[in-house]
Amino acid sequence: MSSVTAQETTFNLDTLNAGKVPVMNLRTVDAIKSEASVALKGVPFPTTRDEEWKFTNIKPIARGAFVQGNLQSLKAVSYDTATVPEAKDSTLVFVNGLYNSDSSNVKDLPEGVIVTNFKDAVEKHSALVEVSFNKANNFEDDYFTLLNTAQFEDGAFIYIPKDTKFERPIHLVYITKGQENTASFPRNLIVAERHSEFTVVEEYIGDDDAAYLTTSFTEILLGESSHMSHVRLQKDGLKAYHINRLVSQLQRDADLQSYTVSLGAEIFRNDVRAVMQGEGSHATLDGLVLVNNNQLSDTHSIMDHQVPNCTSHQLHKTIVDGKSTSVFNGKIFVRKDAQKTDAFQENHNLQLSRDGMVYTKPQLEIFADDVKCSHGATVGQLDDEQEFYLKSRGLDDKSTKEILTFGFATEVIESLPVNSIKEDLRKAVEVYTTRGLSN
Amino acid sequence: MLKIVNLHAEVDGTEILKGINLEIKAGEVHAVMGPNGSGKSTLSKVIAGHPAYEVTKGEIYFEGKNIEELAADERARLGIFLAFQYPVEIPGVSNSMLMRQAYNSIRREHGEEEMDPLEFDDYVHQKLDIVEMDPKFLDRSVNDGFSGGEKKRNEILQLAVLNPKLALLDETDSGLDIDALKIVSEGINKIKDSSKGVLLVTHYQRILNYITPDYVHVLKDGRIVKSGGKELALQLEADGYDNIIESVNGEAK
Repeated sequence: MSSVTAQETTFNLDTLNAGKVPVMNLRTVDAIKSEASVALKGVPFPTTRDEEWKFTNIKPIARGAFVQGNLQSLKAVSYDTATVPEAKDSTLVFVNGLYNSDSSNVKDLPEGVIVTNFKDAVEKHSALVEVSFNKANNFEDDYFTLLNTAQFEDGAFIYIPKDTKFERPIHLVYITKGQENTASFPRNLIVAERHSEFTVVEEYIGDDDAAYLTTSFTEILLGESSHMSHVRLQKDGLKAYHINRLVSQLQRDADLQSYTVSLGAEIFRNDVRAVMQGEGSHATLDGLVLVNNNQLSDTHSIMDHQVPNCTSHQLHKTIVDGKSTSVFNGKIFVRKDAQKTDAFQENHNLQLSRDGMVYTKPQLEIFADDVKCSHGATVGQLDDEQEFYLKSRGLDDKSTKEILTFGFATEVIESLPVNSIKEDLRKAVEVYTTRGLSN
Repeated sequence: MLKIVNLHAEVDGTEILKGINLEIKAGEVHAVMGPNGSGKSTLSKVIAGHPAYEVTKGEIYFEGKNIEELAADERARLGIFLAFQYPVEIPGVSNSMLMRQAYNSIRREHGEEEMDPLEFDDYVHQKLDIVEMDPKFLDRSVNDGFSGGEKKRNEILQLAVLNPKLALLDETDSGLDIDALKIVSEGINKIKDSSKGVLLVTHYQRILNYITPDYVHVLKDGRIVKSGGKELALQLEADGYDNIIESVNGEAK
């Protein structure tokens, strides 16, 4: 028995960084950070009584006394940037939320392109940081957004100037390693000027044996006619807690293709938002979730159509095995002025076990009258006719289930922009399906 | 090769097949014709082992073995192939992946070594010409976004690749235009040989202009009401199902 008792529903902020707010030495940023720190004290830690957290019990996070990663643990980790060969010269590595310059490798950037860590950007590109930082953030009174804003120490900063096409993917690697209860708060800011084109891959990895917490926040500002491909790979350790927010703001004719693949973590909560502020812009927010055992993965999304003639696409697929849980809440807002909106949303859930839970809730709020919004959600087992088709070709029961599960998942993977990551994920799906079915 | 004795089968408690007797020998092509709802598609599904259909009476022997207790995949590995009337779309699973896995599972069954992906690729490419298919089809998801004609050609490609002993062709001609019908029929003609049996289920006579059957059977209400040679098909085409069936009923009375 422990002699210390903590209140179950409050998060122990005092152990984090000894209760202090890390300083970035840039006036506007530090002002926002300290505001967030103050605001955080007035926002209760979310519980299942909150509508937005109804199916996601994060009590285990409240119970932990997390401490921020330190520089010591940073030295012990190295990462081979050739893991994703397409990005070997455009990779930033973060360990426990802090920048690891030894493992990172960024060279031969086109003129004006900036790929660096946030701290460095604050020093060298302070004007750019000041005009864009926190500008897209539309999370109000959100505990974990405030927590990230107050507590972040570093993250990635990417700037793509106008008319620039950056061919290589930019790879951001976040590793958590070391002792139990490590907390990290990566904060990423991505700014693209008009007619730019680029790809960013965020990848989160960690040990299976430690319960650690990642509270991440990625902010994307896309200028006119810019094109961004974005992949977010959540491959955390199986005891990890990961709370992420992604918010993007799109100007006229901007195009965002964002894919989140979630494989790890015991509790994963992912809030993704696209705000279409410019006419003709398009956002894709696709997702693939594979959960097993006692994992929980919860995706909340908002497609915010604010102006006319925008399109959005959302295909969210989950596979649930063991006693795991998947939650999907997909909101589409079509504002009064957003005529000729074309929004597509589908959520398909494949249940491989009897004990798995799936909660799905599409939410459409439409205030314009000339729009096309389609949405659908399915929850089910493998399709009988597909099973019979494969078996009539000679595949046995096990191979049939494997191949169909694989096929269900790969629909999302096939769209990813980086080949080595696609290949890697195909293997991960294969491992998941064979492991799941041998249970 | 295939011997069906007094076969009764039902789906969801409704009896569809009401006593079918049929024997197909190696090298023979049998056409089963009949109006909608006569049970002809059910017959091919029951032989292939579709789990939704329950055999309530009678036996199915394949190469002398009663296959009633065997699952669909076991029957397939013995050498029974069903070309679907409505081929199923499987997004995310490529044609080449499906065919390689299926082909290798059949080889394993016969104690043969599996083919590696490169060898298999060569093997499949030889078969593509049979149905005039573009190699690009191999990388596409199974039937996903295929036109009706492409789906049927894909069934025949799989037939060519898996090389079964007995081919059950369930309305392979339905929905095909004349060019596609020619390609599909010629494909079947190239594949069939003296060691194979073919059961051709069709609503229309026109595919029999390209594939000559040895026997034609007319199915009505779950029973074979008339059997004959290829000329029976022409008679059906000329007189229609109703007249043939009426004359059968008349003879019975």
